[in-house]
Amino acid sequence: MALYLLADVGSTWTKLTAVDDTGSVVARASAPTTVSTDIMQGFNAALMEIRIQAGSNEDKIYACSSAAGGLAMIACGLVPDLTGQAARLAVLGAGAKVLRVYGYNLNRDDVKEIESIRPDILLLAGGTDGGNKRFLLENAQALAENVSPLPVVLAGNRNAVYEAAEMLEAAGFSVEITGNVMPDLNKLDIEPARESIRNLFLRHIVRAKGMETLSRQLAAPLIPTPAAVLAAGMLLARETGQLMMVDVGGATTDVYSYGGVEVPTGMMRKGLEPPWDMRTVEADIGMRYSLSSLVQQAGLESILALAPQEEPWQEELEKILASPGRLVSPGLEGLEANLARAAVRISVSRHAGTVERIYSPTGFVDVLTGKDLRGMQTMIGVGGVMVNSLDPRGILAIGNEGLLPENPRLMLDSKYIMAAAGLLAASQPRLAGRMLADSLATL
Amino acid sequence: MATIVLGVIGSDVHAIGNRILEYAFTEAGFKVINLGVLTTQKEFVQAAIETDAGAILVSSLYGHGEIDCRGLREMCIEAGIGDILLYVGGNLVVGKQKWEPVRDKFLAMGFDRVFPPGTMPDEAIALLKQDLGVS
Repeated sequence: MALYLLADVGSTWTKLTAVDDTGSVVARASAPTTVSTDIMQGFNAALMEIRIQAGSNEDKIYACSSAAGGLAMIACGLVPDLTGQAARLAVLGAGAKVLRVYGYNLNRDDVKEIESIRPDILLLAGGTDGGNKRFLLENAQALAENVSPLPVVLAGNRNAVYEAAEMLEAAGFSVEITGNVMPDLNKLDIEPARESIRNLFLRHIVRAKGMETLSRQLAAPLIPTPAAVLAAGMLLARETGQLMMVDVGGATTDVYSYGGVEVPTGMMRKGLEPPWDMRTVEADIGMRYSLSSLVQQAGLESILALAPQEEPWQEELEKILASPGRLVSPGLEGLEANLARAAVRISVSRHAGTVERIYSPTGFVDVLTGKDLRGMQTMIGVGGVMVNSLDPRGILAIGNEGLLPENPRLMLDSKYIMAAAGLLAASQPRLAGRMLADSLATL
Repeated sequence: MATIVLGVIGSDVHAIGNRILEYAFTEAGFKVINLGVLTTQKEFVQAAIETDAGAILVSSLYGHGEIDCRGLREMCIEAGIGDILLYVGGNLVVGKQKWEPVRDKFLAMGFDRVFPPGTMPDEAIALLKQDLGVS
């Protein structure tokens, strides 16, 4: 019987899951990620435990990683609402973290900032195909002259990318030319850029010691962890219809949606057409490191509104704000759930599009921008905050205002299997589907 | 061939003329970026930057053209495309007003060509080719 080993090298824990060829999980183990010495130490420690549990050796290993902060990128476009936004969506869709998005010309401060941030990869876009070339070329020149060589994905105007690549390559940059993220105005095409980012990730992102050793043992390329989660959601959506997933973390909240791109009858779309599979990350919404901005966005009153007594909640909140490593005190789990619900509500609302009624002399028109999530059939809670909560249903029940899901089935990834299943989604979809079905619990 | 940005400005939902113009200018060899109805000034300007358009063609059929179009040239200047050709046409003002003062008002706003109701697309196409120096 074949045994697949699925590894998620996280920033603090290296999590290993072994599944057999029926899709049953036969062993799970984790060990602290050893990013400061060699990630193989933590990996091997967990692997030993797995081999004891499984009683045999694995046949194929797959892995994703978010160690050392994950894949960190910068995106450059031309008009911020157009190629800037397209570049941002491509970066997020590749499973990367967006450190900055620049529009128009990079100025002296911008290149200085890029030089000091040193992203893993920079995505350079700008101009529709046959459209503006100037900004892309000038930005390529500014990078070549002022920034030390970086891996660059060139995803701009196809009539300018080769010239831009020459400038960057002459300065020692490694460049991958790919399809324009916005070949026509308001038309998004981010899959080629996503693929190129994944390729470069593989070749260049070996910042953590031992990552290369691990890569060599893998049956498929190492991918960023969010890319694995995105793939798992895609597989589920293909089988069960439009769905979304929310992962509330300590620092950020990730939202994934599959579908919601069709324009309902009677509405008119304006602006960029959103991608069918879309990932957004709210950097200011999280349960610990971004807690103060979460409370600010949600409003203290709404957080405390459901408290049996306000004072203990308020005191606890202040303690958590003062030390983000703190676990919530027993008996006050309601506060944690309430914060998580606020995080889900704000992040899903930002992920969703808007509809605005415009009155004209001949009647009104409903103008849609972004995604219409009303038809989402399922909403899945993913990640530790949901799994460890006593009230995951309450966290996900955020109401159906505006374009939010009207009446989704609420589910929980109860066994924390999303990333592991995503690793098998492409090569072994049947097994991955089995793993997901086994973990997903209706709330 | 040159790229042009086309659209109906403001809260105007007259779609038919817009489709006819898109067809006629495409047939004449232009790459037409049609923003459709309900287009804001900002959308016109952003689309022109991103596509490196040679001209912006604004339609207004519902009589509020004067208010909707005011400031478009200034916005182009601010955005770095101050030299772009701006055309406007349609029922630009409310009621039956004399054409010359209406035309002059829009020329003063910074439009390069102003077209009265009933203009056939061929006329605008010929002038655009002349202004852009293409055949």
